[in-house]
Amino acid sequence: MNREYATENEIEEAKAKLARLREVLNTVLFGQERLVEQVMTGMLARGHLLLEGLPGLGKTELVKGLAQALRLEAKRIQFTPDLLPGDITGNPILNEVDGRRQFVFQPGPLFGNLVLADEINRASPKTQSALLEAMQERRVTVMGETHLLPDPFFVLATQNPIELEGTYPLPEAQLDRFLFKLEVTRNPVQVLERIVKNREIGETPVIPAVLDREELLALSALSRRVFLPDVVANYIARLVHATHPEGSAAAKGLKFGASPRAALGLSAAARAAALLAGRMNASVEDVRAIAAPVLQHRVVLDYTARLDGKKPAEIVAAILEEVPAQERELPKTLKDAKL
Amino acid sequence: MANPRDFWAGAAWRLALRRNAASWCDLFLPALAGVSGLAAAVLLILRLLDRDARLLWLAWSGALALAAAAVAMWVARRPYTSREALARLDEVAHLHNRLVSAHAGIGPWPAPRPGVRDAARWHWPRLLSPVAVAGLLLAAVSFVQPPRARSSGRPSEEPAAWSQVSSWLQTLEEAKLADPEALRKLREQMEDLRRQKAEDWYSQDSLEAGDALRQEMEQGMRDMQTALQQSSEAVAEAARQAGRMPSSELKALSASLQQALQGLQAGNLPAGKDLLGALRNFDPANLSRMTPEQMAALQQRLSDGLKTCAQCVGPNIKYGTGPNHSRHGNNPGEGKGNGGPGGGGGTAPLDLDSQATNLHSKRTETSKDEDMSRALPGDVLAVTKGKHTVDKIAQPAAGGAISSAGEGGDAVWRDALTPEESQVLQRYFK
Repeated sequence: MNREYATENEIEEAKAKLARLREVLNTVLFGQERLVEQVMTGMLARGHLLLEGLPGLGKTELVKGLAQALRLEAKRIQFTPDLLPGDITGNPILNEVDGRRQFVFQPGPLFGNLVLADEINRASPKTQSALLEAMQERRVTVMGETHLLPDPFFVLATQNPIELEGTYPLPEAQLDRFLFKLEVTRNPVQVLERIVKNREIGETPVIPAVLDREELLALSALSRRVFLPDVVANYIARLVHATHPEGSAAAKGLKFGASPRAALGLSAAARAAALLAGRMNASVEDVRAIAAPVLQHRVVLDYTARLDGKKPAEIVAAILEEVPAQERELPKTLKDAKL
Repeated sequence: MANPRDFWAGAAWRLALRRNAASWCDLFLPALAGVSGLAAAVLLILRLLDRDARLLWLAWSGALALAAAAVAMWVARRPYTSREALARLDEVAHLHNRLVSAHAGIGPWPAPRPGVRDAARWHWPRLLSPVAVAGLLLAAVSFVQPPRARSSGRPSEEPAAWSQVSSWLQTLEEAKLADPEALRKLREQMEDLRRQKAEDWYSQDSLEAGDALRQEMEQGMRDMQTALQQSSEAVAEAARQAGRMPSSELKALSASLQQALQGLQAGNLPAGKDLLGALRNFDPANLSRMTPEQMAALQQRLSDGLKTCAQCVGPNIKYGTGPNHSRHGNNPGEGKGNGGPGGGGGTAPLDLDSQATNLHSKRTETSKDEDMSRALPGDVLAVTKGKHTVDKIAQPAAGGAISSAGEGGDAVWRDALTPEESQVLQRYFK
């Protein structure tokens, strides 16, 4: 495939812009540098993100901050069991124009650049399905009429992992639509202290806009032009293969492995991570860094592994340990050395 | 500072070379160990059978060469390339795949890094252990003789009788004293004994045969020695009384010489033909036919023969040369005896005289030895009158039947057990 790869100047310029965005977002969300990094990576890779964490950890603040920093239109949908598909996609409304009655499509909250789908697992499967279809196709069809969603279009969905009663867990096929599943972790004491000192309840932090829509789209396009060496592509392929029970010893506790969409996601995310790091090429290290968020929601544990209390993230970590960076291992008469 | 491109390309080439060599070693070394193990087993068998192993070494070398070539071809089918080596260098130097990208024309080459030569080190224990195992196996089999092979080797020393016979044969051959044909027969008999299996050299039959050969030869030499002595004395006597000897003595001298000549001809070990011829030509009644030089040569010849015999079997008892022609000599023997290692202390000074020594004793006494510990088997210690105590009740018993049941407390085992068995029982009952 002939493609024009990103130049050194383009990379340097992008690195500077992304560094500013990172800096701004870190002022919104204290102590979550890794989460910010992963969210930025996901956005550059044009992927949708599933955030899992307890309430009050700053998920909504992060989305709002992103919207302000990128000058994007942000929408928030609180998912409830009685939410209907039309409530999120929009409904045709009978309207009279010039003496003629016709249905006019009234866009729903899905029509935004940045959509925060709060507690997505509380909506009915029908509504979830409507959202996930829009995420995949980036368009909405109502009454036979197709409406394109704005570009860029990102969904950041959240799940509460503790209140499972009355929820509708997302099926594996739908989870596959999310590029990343990110764990929003509890803050340590020092970070909490910083939050207490710098924040007030009900007061929204003021975020300066560091990028606009066009710049974000350009950065996203640039990330796709980052060079992916053959050795990295080979590593991604072997890694995805290793998530299948017959693919590796570590995957014995899995019922199903990751899909080719996961491989594409790893590739896109590795390129985006390289761009964030200011490199002209993706590397095996980039793949390793984003492998857990890309793979952990795409593998299905088998019954025994569930009984053993294993978690997908642990198995993914074991697979990463097992799969070597190079396909051909060192001969037995040589030994590994780190410089 | 070297050009980064050249530096990394050189490092990748070296790594690829090392990696391919290691792949070759990975496959070849087990083959080396296996082939050597097999060769060691075959070599052990060959050594046990005492066969030539040169073909085995050829086969071993050929198999290794073949294996080396096959492994090289296998490795060459999919060699480790410099590009793969760059990826490896990327990994170990944490370069985030900058090297493979630079190789693809994306981005600059990273600055050279010292120590990159150690990207993959040789695992010496794994590399050398198969070689060591192969070497040790072959060395062990080559240098350590298996027990059976060791036992099949010739004994370090042949039986003493054989050595003595060989020594005598050599002495007689060098002295040209005995008939060569007789010596050849004796040597053949000796070689027959030697040709038997080495482990049978010290068998009872072999030892007895060797001893018989030695005794036969010794007897032959003693007979020859006696005949030579007799001839020598006759020749000396004839020379001493040349032309003045009475006819009766001349006749006796001729008879003695004839008897000696027969002895030299008819013994186990006949004398050589020239010596016999010279003695036959010697006529005591007509000594004028011989020149003094011929006489001296004959005497010298006989004297040398006597010395040769004495060298082999020791000196003969000298006969008296006095007027009575006593058969018993008055002089002690010369040299050591022939028995045992070292030859003993020489012949006993046996002084026998034709005249009995008068001790002027009127009383006959018996000698009595009170010290029974010095008694020898066969010595009569005492003669008494008595009766045989025959058990008239005893009946013939069947094989295995108990003839005497014994009673509790009888210490019957004391005389029936070996000292070792006795010690075991003592330890048990302690």
